Amino acid sequence: MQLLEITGLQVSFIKDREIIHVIDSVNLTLEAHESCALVGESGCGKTVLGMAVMRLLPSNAQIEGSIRYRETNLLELNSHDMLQILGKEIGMIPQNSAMVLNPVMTIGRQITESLVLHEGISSKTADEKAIYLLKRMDIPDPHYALSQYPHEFSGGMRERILIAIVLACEPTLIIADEPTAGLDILVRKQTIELLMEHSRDKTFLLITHDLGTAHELCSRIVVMYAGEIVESGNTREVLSMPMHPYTQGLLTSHPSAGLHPIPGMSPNPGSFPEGCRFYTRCSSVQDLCTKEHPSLKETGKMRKVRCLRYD
Amino acid sequence: MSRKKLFWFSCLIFFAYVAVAVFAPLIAPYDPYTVSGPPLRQPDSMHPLGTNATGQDILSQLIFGTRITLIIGLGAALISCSISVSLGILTGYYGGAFDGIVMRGIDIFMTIPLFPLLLVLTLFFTPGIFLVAILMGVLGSTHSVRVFRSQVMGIRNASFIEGARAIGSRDMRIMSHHILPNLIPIVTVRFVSSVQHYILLGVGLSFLGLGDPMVIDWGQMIEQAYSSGGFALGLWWWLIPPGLAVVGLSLALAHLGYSSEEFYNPRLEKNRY
Repeated sequence: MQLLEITGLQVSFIKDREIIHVIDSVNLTLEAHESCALVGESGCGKTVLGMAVMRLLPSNAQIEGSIRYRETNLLELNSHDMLQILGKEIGMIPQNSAMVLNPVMTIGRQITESLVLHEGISSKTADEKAIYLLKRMDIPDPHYALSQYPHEFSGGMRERILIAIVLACEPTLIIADEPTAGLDILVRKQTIELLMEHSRDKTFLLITHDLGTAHELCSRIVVMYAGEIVESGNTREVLSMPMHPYTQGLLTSHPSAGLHPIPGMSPNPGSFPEGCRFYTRCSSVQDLCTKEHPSLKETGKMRKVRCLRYD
Repeated sequence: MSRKKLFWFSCLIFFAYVAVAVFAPLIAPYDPYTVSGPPLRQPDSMHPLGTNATGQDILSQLIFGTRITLIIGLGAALISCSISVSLGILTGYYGGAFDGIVMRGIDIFMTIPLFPLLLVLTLFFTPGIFLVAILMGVLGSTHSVRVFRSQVMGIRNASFIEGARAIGSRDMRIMSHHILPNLIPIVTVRFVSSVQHYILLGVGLSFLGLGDPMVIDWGQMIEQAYSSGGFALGLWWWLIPPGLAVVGLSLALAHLGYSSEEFYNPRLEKNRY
C-alpha cells in the first residue's frame, strides 16, 4: 500500500522578486512500512522536501505538485486539518538536535506536549507514557529526567529524547532530518540502533548526507542533486553498483573508499547549469551533457537513473 | 557592597514597603483621613511627624500613602507589561504587514512625550488611582514593545519553534507555551524598572494635583505641604518624609532591576559600578 506519494513536486522561493527553484519535479513514493533514505549534499533540497511534506516551509515558498498521504493531498488541506496530521500521523525529527528542545521547558512537558495536543489525555497518564518512552530510549532515571531541562543532557541523550518526543503519538510516517549529525561514532551507532528498533513498524524517510546511516537504516535509497532525483533504487544495489557519476563520486568520497571528494561545489539554487546539472563536476562529461537535460529513466526493477550515458 | 548583597538588600527594602502597605491599618497610629489633633502641630510623642494643616496625622498619612503609591506603580507596570509583551510577541511572531502597521503606529505614538500627554489626558477624566494606572500603563507600554519584539524575532526562527510546529502546535500555543517562557527574564527586568518609573510618574502627577483627591499618596502630601505653606514655614517633618519615602522605594527598585538583569546576563557583572 502506498502511504506517501509525491508527484511532480516543485518548490520555489520568492526572494526580492526573484523566483528560485529549489526542488524540480520530484516524484517519490513511500510504501507502508518501508524505509527510504534521501541522500545528497547540503543545499540539494532534501531538507526542503521534508519540510514541504510537513507544510512547514516559510510563507515565501511556492509549492506545486501533489503530496498524497493515504487518501488526502496534504497541499490542499487547510491549516487546521494539517495540525491534526502533524505529530500524530507524520512525525519529524528535525535537524540540529541541540537546538530543537526548548531551553526553558522541562523534558517532561516537551514529551507530553504532543500527547496533550492530539490525544487529550490527562497530564498524569501523559507523564506515565513519557516515563515509558524515556525508558525505551535508555535515558537513566526517567522519572527524574521529566523535571530536568535540556541543558542537563548530553548531545546523544537529547537526540534520544527527540526520538521519544516523535514516537509519543506513534506516528505512521517518520521523517528524520539528519538524526545523527554532530554525534560521535559510538553515540551515533547507539542512536541508529534505537531508531531501527523502534521504527520497524513505521514508514521511515531518512534525510541524510551520510551514506553509512542510510545503508544501516534504509532498504531504499534516493539520491538528490541540485533539486532533482538523480538515482534511486534498492540500497544495496545502489551502493554496490552506483550508476550515476554523482553517486559514484559520493561513494569514492567516503573515507573508507579513500576520501576522494567530488571536485567543485554543488551549484546554488537559482543558478543550476543548463543541460545536466552535474556536468560541471562530472568526470565522464560529454558534449551532449552541456545541452540536453537528462530525464529520470528506469533501468531495472525499482532502479532509476538520470544520466545521458544510460539512454 | 557586592551585587548579590545589594540585590537582597533592595529586596528587603522593597518588601518592607509592601509590608507597610499591606498592614497599614495595624501600623498607623491614627486614621489618616480624620482629624486627630490640632493643625500644624510639631512632632511630639503623640504625633511623631506632627499634623498637617487640617490636623491629620502625617505619619499615618505616610503609611497609608505607601498603599496608593504602590498600587499605582504596580498596576501601571502590570498593564504596561501585558500590553507590550502581547504586542511584542504578536508583531515579532507574525511579522509582515501587521508588524509594519503596528510598529509605525508605535513610532508615531512614541514621538509624543509621555508626561505632558498624561497631564492632558488626566484632565479629561474623573481622577482615580486606577484611571491613572491604566493611562500610564497604556501610554507607557509603547516603550517596551520594541524590546520584546526583537527578542521574539530571534526566538521565532529557533529550531525548537520549528520542532513545536512539527508536532502540530497552533500559533497561539507556540506563542504562549514556547515563546513567552523564553521572555520571562527580560520581562521581569523590564517590569521591575517600569514599576519604579511609574511610581515616580504617579508621584509627579499627584504633586501637580492631578491625582485622586479622595485618597492619600506621597505626591499629594508634598503638594498639600506646598500649597498650605509647609515650604514657607519650613515644616520639614511634613515635606521631607514623603520625599525620602519616594527616594528610598525608587532606589530599591532601581537596584532590584539592575541586579535582576545581572542574574540573567552575568556578563554585566564586572562592568557595572
